[in-house]
Amino acid sequence: MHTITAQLPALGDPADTGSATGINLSESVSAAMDGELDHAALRELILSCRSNSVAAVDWQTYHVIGDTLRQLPLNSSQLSEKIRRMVQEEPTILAPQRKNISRLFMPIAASVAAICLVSWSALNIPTGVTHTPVVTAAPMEMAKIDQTKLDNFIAAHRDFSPGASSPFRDASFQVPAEPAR
Amino acid sequence: MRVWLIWSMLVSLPVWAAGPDTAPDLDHWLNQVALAAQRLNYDGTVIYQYNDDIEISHIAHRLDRNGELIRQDALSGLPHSYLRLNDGVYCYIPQGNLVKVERHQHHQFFPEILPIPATPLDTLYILKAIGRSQVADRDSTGVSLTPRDAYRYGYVLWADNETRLLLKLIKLDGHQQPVEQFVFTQINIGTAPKREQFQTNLADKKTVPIPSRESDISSDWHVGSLPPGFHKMTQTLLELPNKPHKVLHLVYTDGLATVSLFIEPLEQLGKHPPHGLSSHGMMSIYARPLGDYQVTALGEVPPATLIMIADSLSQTERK
Repeated sequence: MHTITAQLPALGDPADTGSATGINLSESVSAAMDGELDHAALRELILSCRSNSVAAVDWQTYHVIGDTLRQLPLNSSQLSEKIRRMVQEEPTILAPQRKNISRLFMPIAASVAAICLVSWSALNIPTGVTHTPVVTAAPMEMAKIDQTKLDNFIAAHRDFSPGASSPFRDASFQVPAEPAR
Repeated sequence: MRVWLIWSMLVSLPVWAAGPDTAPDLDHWLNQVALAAQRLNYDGTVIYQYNDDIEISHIAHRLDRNGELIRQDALSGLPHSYLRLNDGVYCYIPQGNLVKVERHQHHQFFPEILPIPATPLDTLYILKAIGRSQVADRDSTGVSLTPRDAYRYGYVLWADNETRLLLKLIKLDGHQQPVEQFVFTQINIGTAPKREQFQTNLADKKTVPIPSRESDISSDWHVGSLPPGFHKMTQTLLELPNKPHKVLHLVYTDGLATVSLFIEPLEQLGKHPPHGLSSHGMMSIYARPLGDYQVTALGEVPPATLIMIADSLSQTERK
């Protein structure tokens, strides 16, 4: 028993609490305590205890219960001492967690959602500069603008438009053809 | 007691999580990004992507006591380079083996695209933090600028977390879909590129000086209604090839989006001057005759913006 305790995983490991196999393991632990498991099943249980802290807690808890029932002094047990210390350090670990979490979580989730909603609404208050332009112009004749004739205009525009395009684009348009010879 | 502690932590969680997303923080971020591109030393490779078109260039930016030095060299296509020393721009053009020399302060390229201060943009665009990512191997924060009205398009900016240098600019169309982007693929920030890096072998090339065009032209043209946030940036007179008369060029901007208005005598456009709306990628073009003049409006803005500006244009009576 002591060798097993020494190899048990640390209590309070939150990764595998509340696993679906917890109930089955508890039953197995109980059966093992009563000497009802065969060698193979016991071996499997011990392996489970190494990887499953719920089973490990059950294992230890059942032994403490057994010791108490048999009126063995708890202080003499290295196991109970360990449990007592751990209980002091981690008082919530032995409490039924699932119920508490859901009881806490729902109102918190609701208030977080409410706060998010309020902040979101506050951040999206219309600022007054929002206008929707109404394009009243008649259907435009697209084909009549010859863009090649506007290359000089586009180049001149880009001179004043930061980040309008790569500076190398259309740069040659900006040079007057053979000026002041 | 413990429950209340958890409770209060959870209750304050949305507020805390929204911290960097609040408007004053993003305004501050945007200002820092605007300043960083002008004030930092950097040296990197930029990819410009538009449709299937990709251009790669090298950018070096140095700020010292003599002012601002920028050199941009095309690494793809024909040899082509820009050198800017304060407000003087030297552009080597491979066609004709020319060097164009120009003076004006508006020549700004990626990553120097934001106005300083950038704060007024907050009234025109909804700023929203969109997450963190790696750009050019640097931890960066993304912020989207979604227009608050239908007179401009949106942008997504990604800036370096450490220095706030703009590393990526995505330009969105009216459906918030990416159309164009500039992105640094590699960058060295903080080390000043050596002065020798800005020396060119352009001395033997033919120079084409372009005189400063930003003289005070008295213009009797007036725009009656401008979309929110737009203001006149400048006006110049252009001398263009094949045009006997000069063309008046008025420039309006909201800080990011820019609209140009070109006004010229109707007579130099032939018998059928264009009238209507056209688009060219994100560029919209709107042309209409107005009295004895032809007005051409263009810019990377929705057509509604051009129509509003060009249709409200009027000429005050000469006395």
